[in-house]
Amino acid sequence: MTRASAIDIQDLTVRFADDSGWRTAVRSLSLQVREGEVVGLIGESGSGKSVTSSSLLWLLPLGDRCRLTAERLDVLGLNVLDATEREMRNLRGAQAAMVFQEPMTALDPLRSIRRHMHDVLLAHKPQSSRDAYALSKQLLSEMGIEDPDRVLHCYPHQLSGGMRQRVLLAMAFSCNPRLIIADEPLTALDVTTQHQIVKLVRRKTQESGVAILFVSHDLSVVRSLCERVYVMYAGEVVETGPAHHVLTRPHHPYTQGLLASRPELFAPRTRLDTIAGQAPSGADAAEGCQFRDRCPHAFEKCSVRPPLQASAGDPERASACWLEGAI
Amino acid sequence: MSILLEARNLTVRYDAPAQGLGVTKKHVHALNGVSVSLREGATLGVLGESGSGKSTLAFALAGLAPVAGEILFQGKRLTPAVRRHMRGAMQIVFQDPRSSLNPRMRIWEICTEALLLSGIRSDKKRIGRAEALLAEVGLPVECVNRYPHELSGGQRQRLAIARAIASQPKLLILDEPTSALDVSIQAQVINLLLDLQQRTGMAYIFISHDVGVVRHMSDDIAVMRYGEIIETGARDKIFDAPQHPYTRELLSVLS
Repeated sequence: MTRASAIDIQDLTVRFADDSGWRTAVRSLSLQVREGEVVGLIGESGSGKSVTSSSLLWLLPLGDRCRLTAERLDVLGLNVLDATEREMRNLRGAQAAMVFQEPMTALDPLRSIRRHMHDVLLAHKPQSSRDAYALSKQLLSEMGIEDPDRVLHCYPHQLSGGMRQRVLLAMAFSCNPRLIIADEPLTALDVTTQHQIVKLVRRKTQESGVAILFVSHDLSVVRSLCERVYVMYAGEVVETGPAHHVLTRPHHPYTQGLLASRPELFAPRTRLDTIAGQAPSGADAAEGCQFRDRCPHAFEKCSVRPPLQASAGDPERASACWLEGAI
Repeated sequence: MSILLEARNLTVRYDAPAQGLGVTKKHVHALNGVSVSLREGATLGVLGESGSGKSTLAFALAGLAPVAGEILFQGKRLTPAVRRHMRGAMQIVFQDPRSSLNPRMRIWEICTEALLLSGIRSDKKRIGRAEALLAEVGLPVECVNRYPHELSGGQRQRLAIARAIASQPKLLILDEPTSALDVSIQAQVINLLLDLQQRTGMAYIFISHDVGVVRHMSDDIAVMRYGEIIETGARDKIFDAPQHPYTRELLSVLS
């Protein structure tokens, strides 16, 4: 059975202008998240994953210095490209919630946690402040906060990074959204806390059928949480498929390099395998495969950009490499 | 090998915010009777989650937090006066290279500022030294005249390391040096730190929440929780036979 899609992106390109010209942040990207599905979007900083997720809820500073083109950009059935501000307001928060990476900038330093949570709850559903308080308390304890009463009376600066991030997650879940776009939500959290929250998010998705686009650079968290995964490099999707398969037997040389550089694979105090060099900045947008300068397998054909092509052995998987299936 | 650093019974206490009028102040023990020792040229890994006191330990050792207790460095008791004359024998690298580098200083100024203290004042000498330092940490030498914002995250962390090793320290305190970096860049910085240690014989205190990275870097490991060291010992002992239930929980995340 095919589920309706929560996110449907076809051929998205986002470009930013700076003093030296246009830089392509996202190039011809297509991505689907079905209802109730947890999908990971992996990439290193500057790979375009946050720009992709921000484009979905109109969070990009579109204008003279930022241009977006897409064949299709649908969120929960709404065509975001042609939506009105009113439609977007109805979408954001209540149906599609966003969790940001920096909990300190996402919370207002002059408002208590209680005010933050009440703002969200009351904006989307009129209720007494007593009910809102009780609900806030419940949401916070579901996020593993042991003393929600104290936390509700705190201001953001009085909480640790982990606590602030839990508050943001609680706010995202507060209106029972159908889609959560989470941009590095666990990065600031401790390992044991991550574990706890991954379990919780998994349970919540099963119960409520919420779809999640989970943006992260943490391979192990994505593997344990997501059904499918997209791997981004220099603004493009280089590999996609079931998370477990892609992150245990990667096809694309970039994904292979990422996985091979984890310290767990090496004897203590020995040199690690690394991917040489660093990712292109997007300014030049060279022809051909963006990874070719760092790739151990590069050959003549790589000067032509490889399309994202389905894997011969597994139609659910695809990678953008001329050697797909051969390495 | 001789002992480079010995810290005994370190305690750092902060005042907790008062909970109401007339209530006596409470204290939070960010560090509660912590003792560590480190051999010359060795690496002590400090593993713990946020709030466990591992950064406070780094700050206390570096003289950046008000600490009670005793620190012996190369056999000498560290007092503020002794610290001033140490000439940067102990240096620290912070987690976030965006906030720990002055955005208005050029790269050569950043990595040779400490040399001012040892009397090297001519710009020409400083730039020369900066070029050598950049080469040592694998940064392109052409960067000397640029500003930190022109560097990528991994390059900035290399710069922070270059600044720290400018005074040829005996001990480098690394507070989550790879946590803000991407996976592929993290591996490069780990390799750099291992190479530097082999070349110079510096000792490291390597602080991280990342179990895999700490295991990879350390000879000995101290596990912290609630401002105390709950378990300490040789790396393999901690990993093969963790005694404390919390250590077991932390390590289980790896598998």
